[in-house]
Amino acid sequence: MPAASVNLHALAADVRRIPHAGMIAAAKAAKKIVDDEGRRIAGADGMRGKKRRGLKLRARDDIRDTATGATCRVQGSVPAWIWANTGTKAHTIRRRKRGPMRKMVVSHPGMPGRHAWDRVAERITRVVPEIFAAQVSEAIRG
Amino acid sequence: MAEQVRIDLVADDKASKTIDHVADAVEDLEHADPAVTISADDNASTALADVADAAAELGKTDPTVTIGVDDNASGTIADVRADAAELAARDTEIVLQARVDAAKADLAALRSELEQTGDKAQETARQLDKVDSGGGSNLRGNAIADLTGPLGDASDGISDNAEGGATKVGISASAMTSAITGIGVGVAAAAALWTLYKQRQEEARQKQEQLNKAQRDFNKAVREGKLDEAAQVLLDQYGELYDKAKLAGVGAQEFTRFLTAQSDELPTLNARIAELNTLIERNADKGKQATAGLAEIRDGLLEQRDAFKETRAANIDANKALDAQDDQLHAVASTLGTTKRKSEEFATSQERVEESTRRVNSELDRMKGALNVDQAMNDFKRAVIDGMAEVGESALDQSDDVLALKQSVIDMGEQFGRTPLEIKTELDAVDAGDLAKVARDVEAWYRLHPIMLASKLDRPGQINVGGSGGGGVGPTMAAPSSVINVNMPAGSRGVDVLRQVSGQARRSGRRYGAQVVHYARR
Repeated sequence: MPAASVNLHALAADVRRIPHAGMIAAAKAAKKIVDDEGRRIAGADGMRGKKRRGLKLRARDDIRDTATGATCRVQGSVPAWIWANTGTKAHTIRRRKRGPMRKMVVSHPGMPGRHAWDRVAERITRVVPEIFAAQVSEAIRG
Repeated sequence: MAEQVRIDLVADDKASKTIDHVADAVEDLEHADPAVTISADDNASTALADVADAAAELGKTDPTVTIGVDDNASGTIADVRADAAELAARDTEIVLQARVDAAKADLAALRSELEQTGDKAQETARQLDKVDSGGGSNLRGNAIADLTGPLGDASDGISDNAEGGATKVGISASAMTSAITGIGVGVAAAAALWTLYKQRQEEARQKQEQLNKAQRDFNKAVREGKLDEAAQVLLDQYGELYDKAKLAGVGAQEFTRFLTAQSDELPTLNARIAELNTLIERNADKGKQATAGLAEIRDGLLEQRDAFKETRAANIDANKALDAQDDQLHAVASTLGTTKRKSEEFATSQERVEESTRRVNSELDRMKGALNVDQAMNDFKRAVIDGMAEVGESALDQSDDVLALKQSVIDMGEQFGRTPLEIKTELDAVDAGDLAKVARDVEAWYRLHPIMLASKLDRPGQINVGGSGGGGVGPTMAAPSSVINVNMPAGSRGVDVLRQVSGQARRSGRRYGAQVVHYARR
């Protein structure tokens, strides 16, 4: 039977690994949430215009280890996230159609924001602490 | 500052260091070698021995627990239970008995009133005999009997119902002793009223259906000229009214005319009522008691007349209802006819859409043809330019370049619908090295191609194709407000040109045909 000090040292090592391991799980969960909200806003094919490939609303993650733990930055992959979150003002769009044209730009009336990233933040704030709590609980139970 | 769509997650570990410190302390503790001395206390061992002895002594004893039953208490409970049962039964009986007594009292009062009415009728009859002592007018007769008869029957019927009702209440009381205390009298009364209301509604509906059916049968019999059958329908439906009318002195013909709305009044009955009024006025000086009987008869006749009028109004309403049903049938039939017409119009519209689609496809084919012509012309020009460059260098021979040029000429000839003789002439020119002639001729083919020609016709009002042919041609399908003059060039095919021009005419406010090709080339 191992001594109590050995068990405590093993527990300390497990706890020390929690920030990195938990951050990986948290990043996966966050990206899944982002993908889910993006599909809700833009559909499976992404936010698409006419005859162009759709912009899929996803996110990138960047996990870095620090002296005391780990950090992760989850960032929307395309600027369309801002459009989906806060909307756009009225603006003009340059035409991409080839051939002679009377107008070089068309007017876009703007669109209201749908607060997609706000929902992402709210869900991540709720889910990530639960992930770390589960990691700590698993480490303590062995 | 532009908005950022990013979330930063930070996880710091502050616990592991603490745990490490604790582990180190525990390790130090483990490596220590503490000595623990345990000394025994004799007093304690003595006390433990005493406790063991006491436990053994307790195990040897055989405790017995006796529970006594108080007979007085059980007797009291039984008495209370019996009293409660008796009280519950007594309350129920009291409530039921009160309701039965109240119902009997109401019935007795009703019977008394009916008997008083019967006595009054008898008194009226006697007074009438006194007034009309000669017996000529026979005003008393069956009218009074009719008045008293139904009242007497009603009285008997109500009595029977009362007995039956009392019996029913008694049965339900014995069966529902336990449940009746939970039901309020008001709820029971409301339920009874609701049941009665539903029964009345059902009866009224059935009666209305019977009336409608009889009226329809009557109308059908009259329409088909079966008067005997119509008369039988009337008698089946209004037999009692006919009897009463007969008693009131109204003939069947007069009553039938009134009932079927052929006349608005019953003259005989009105005359009888007027006669009674006259008698009452004439005997007014003999006192109110002397004319009371006459007034009673007159009121009875007035009631009969009102009843006849109500029946007649119901008859008229039934006829109106039947007319409304017929109107609805006509409206539904008309709607179905309209739906059929709509379907036919939709089919016609669909044919138009198909025709329009076919026309659009045809135009698209023509546009594709124009693109093909342009592409072929470009290829040919490239081949001719290459060939002419080689001619300039005196390097044109029967090589692959010449064969490619000839193939290009053949393709252009097929594309532009040239005859084999014309194509052969151009091939000979290629062999002779006169590529300029070939290029000029093929350019002419291109210009005179129907599609290219039509694309150059920018205005439908005045079209000049040019060339030396001359001669005006009036199109047969152009818009009536415009005249198109086409100067046919030499070698051009007039039929194709006309088709292109006519295809540019306005239809339904839009231009079709060559105008579409014109835009497609941009």
